[in-house]
Amino acid sequence: MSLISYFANPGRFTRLAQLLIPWCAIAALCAFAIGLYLALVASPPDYQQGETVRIMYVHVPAAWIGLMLYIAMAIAAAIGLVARHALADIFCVAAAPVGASLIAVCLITGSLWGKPTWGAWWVWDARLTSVLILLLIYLGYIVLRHAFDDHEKGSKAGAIFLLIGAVNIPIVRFSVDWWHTLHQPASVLRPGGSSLPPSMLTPLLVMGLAYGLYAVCLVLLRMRTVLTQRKLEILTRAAQ
Amino acid sequence: MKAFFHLLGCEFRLHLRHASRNAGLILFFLLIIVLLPFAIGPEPDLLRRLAPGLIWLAALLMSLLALDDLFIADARDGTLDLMQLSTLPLPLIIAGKMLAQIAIILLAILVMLPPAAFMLGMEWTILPVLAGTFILGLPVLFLLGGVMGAITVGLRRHPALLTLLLTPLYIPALIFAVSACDAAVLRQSIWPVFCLLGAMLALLIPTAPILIAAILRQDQS
Repeated sequence: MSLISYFANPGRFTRLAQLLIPWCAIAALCAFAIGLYLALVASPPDYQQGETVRIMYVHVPAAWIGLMLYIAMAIAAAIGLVARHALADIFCVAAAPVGASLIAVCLITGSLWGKPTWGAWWVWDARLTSVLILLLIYLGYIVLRHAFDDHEKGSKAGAIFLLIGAVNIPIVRFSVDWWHTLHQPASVLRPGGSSLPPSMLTPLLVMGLAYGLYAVCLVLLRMRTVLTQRKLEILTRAAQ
Repeated sequence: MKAFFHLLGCEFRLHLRHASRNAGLILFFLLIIVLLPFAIGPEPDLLRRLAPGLIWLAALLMSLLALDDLFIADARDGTLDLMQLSTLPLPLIIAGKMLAQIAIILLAILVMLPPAAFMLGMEWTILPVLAGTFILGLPVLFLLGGVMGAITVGLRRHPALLTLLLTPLYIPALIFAVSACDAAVLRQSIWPVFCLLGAMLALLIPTAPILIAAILRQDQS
């Protein structure tokens, strides 16, 4: 808790972000290089899906990180509502477009994979539908947040919307177990260990790490931008 | 408690005196039902199969229209400020207002269900199930919509915002309501889905008025 309040000071946060951003960027680049090589060249084609299985290495980590960003935003929203933490709202504002883009990447790559495998660009399967709802919630949050001129009110309204939308998160996670529709069930995080062979699991995890580092880097960068924007707004208002 | 019933009576009288707003909403609901056969074609088999979903879609669009100005008039003419000064707790006042609005619209929809079902050629045996999904589901739509309407009350007019915020929240209720009717068509048990809808309603009845009151109170200060 003390660590959280320590970074309530935007100045301290900016200095830390300054320090972290280049390292995150370099690490993400390295992880992407290794991960893409492992995924696109070194890993074997699937015995059923052939080469199209490689789409999975782009598709699955995007879904993971997009989902995790939403969970982080919901937690930040709760902290912002309860403790009025200065950075909670800034984190949500900064992370929302990143999460929305990742979920969009997940849906687009999934659609590209679905056409050759299922024979359709889109099916109204439980997992697909719940991820589409997640994208709509992200977009709703972004538009709602932009509709407010007053950040104090906007952060509260946005936080409430994020927390209501969080109901969807377990539905996304467990949709493949609750409704046995077209999308395959979980194969990495499941009781009894992963069902993927190591030759496929390793590139997937490296790609997950790469996406995660990339998202952290981007969110920190955007948080710094939003902080600067807010400072600018205060200064312009003071000057008038 | 006496004050609460007085408020409820007041709200009902207000709705009856200004009946044109609610009548317009019901007309809108019926107009969508009339338009749909032109959009998808008049084949009786197709319409019969789609009827519960189409009726629900019409009700959902109608509720979006109804929620657009739920608290705005009260915020503008100062009723909201007076409500906060009342001895009655604000969540209870909100609950009374929502109850009156939901009851009026629900009653009107239930009256209009047989003609709507008749026009789409729906089987009569499904009608009680459809009515049941409306009794449980329509309050869910309005309570969720009330929360989002309260969030957007202080905003400059932003036409599609409420629709964008409510669409993801409405989808579960829509899925459960229509799948109950599908189960009835296939002569399967409708209770699991009814229980899920009922659970959503039971969760929203206490939380929504408290949330709405908290948002409106903060908005006024």
